[in-house]
Amino acid sequence: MHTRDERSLAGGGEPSDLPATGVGRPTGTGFAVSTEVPGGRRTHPLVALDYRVRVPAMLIVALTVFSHFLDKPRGPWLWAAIVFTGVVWPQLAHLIASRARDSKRAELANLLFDCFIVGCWTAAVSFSVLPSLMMVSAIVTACLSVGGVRFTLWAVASITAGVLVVGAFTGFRVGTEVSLLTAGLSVAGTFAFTSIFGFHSHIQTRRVVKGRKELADQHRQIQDQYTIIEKALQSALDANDAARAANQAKSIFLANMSHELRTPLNAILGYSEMLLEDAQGNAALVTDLERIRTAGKHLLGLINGVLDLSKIEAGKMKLYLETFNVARVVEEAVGTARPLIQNNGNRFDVRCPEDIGLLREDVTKVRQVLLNLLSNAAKFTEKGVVTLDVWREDRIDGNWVFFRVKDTGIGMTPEQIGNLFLPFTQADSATSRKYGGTGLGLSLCQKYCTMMGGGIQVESEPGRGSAFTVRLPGEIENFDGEASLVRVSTLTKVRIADLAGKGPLPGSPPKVVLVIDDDPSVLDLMQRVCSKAGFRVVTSRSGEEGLRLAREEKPDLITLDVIMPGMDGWTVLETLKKDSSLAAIPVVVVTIADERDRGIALGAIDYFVKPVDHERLLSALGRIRRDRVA
Amino acid sequence: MSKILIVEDNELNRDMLSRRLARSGYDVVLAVHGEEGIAMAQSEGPDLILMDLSLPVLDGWEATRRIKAGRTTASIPVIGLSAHAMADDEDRARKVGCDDFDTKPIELPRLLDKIEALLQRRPSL
Repeated sequence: MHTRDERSLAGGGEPSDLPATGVGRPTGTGFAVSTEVPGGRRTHPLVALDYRVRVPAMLIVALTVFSHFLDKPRGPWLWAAIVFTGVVWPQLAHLIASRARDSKRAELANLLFDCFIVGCWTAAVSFSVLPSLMMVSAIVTACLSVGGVRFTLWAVASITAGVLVVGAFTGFRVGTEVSLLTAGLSVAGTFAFTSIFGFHSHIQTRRVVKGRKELADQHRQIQDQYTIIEKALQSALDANDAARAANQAKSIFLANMSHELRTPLNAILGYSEMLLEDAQGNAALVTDLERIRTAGKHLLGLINGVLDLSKIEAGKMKLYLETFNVARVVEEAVGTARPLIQNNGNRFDVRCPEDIGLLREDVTKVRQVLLNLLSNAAKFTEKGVVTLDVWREDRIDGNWVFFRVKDTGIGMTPEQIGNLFLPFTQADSATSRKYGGTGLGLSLCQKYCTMMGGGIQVESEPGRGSAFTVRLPGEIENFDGEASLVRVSTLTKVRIADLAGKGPLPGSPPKVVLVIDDDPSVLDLMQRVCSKAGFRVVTSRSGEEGLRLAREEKPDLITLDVIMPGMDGWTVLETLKKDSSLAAIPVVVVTIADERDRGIALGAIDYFVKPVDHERLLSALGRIRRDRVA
Repeated sequence: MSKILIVEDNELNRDMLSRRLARSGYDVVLAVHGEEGIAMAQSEGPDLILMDLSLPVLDGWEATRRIKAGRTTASIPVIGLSAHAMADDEDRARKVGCDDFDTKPIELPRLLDKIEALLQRRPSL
């Protein structure tokens, strides 16, 4: 770049020959964009603009001054000053500005030096009107357009400084005669400057107008895009609403369909059962009627499965948590599954420690999962072995109870395992034809296990058999159940062994249990169980008497039967909970009717269905004892 | 012999249920909608009512509510029956005063247990 600078110096400095910087040639309107020098610094667009104006302008100034001095005494200093003004200074100014750290500031300083030069020449030409007017008006206009009013004040100060410096030498001589050449050059210069600034102003105006137009276009484009986005958003919202409505419609449809399907099924099952009673003794008829009934029950199972799945999907499936003895539930499931397993000529091995302890889960769902796995094993195994292993294990992530159902049946390929837990998908359609089944069981099992905080795992090999392992959280005190179920704030892990034979805690009077039941055998049984656990027992045969005793004794726990002559248990429970002096006493409902929700809703802390499981009852008692002692 | 009023609009189910209960040794009277059910509860004075909840004219919930509000009929135990397996059917039934609830298709032994439990609860006449 500097070599080009020097070349243009030598060639008289046409502006077109000299791009301001190495990159990009400034166009007529291109000074809005900074250009970058190879060193990485940016040069302010003002530098290039001023250069293009300064080169001809200073040349005109120099020529005018030169013409002024043609018929006057002159020396080498004057020539040097004229050459400096007309040729050297514009290049030097450009060099300084483009090398400066802050090119704009440097350029403004250059402009002030322009003013100083003009001031000097104004005094030097003895304030001749035409050249002075041309020079001062040009430089003041330039400063006004570049730097505004404040800068122009500085410019005027610089001009004045120039006038003072040179005027001190010339004695502020004032001369009026002007040669024709000087006058012509001055007029031409004025004309040139006026034209340049006029043209410049025209370009600026055009740019502003064009900029406005572009801005309007962009604004319109943004508006258009905004409209499009708004439409898209609206359609997404509509789609969301539609999906929600569709889901709602699906739920209503499922509920209705379930109703519509159950009504005829009710007739099919009912009549086939009636006919079965009539047809006893006619073997052929009984077989066919059995088939009708079995098919009907299968259909019912399907409908229930679909409903359960859709309830889980809709988040409407509830868990009814209760504490139960694992060994007891396993025993029940084994009893139900044994005939199924042995029908296919299988051996059935069960390994479940009697002291495996308690779980706090939805016992119905645990039972359903176990039965499902066992009946699957029975279905797919012939003349083999089905094994049920149950164990408790402490792991890093807590205490777990495991149930493993293992068979030596047909097994599954990895692809079949992949589809295993998808609803309606059996290993393949051939399996489904041969073995029947809804294909819903395992996906329900898996969802139940997940809901209960556990999981289910499968290992299998074709021809060798399958093993399903269910894992459920074993800590009965750490569960996140529904708040309504957890009236007792912290459940203490209760070992039956801890409770049995343990008397009242030292230093405290025995806790009192009030048993309200119209059945004397229940009263007797509760009396024995509770006294064994170290409680004092008060019994009542009716609701009315029970309420009276509750007020007198202020017991630590009340067990309450629901179905009693006279005042029933629900009324007693409601009355207890309304009475502020009794409301805090925990109530356990013990009844034959399974209405857990109602009991819990009325304020019972636990709910037992008769016949009462002693261990569960003891565990509930233990909880209360510890809580209330604490 | 205990008298049971069945309120059920579906003809097949009404016929089947009435015959099965008759076989099990109950005296059975029938109504096909809620309005008729209330009238029969007053005129027949049954010992127990099996009330289908989805009924024409007047549904089972409203019929039960009125039966339980009636002076002469309030003490008659009502078992709500529904083919909907949705939980809130049962909750609604309990709220209007049903003493018990069962789902269809009916499992006869289970229903008979519930009927007996309620009949025994009534003071014998």
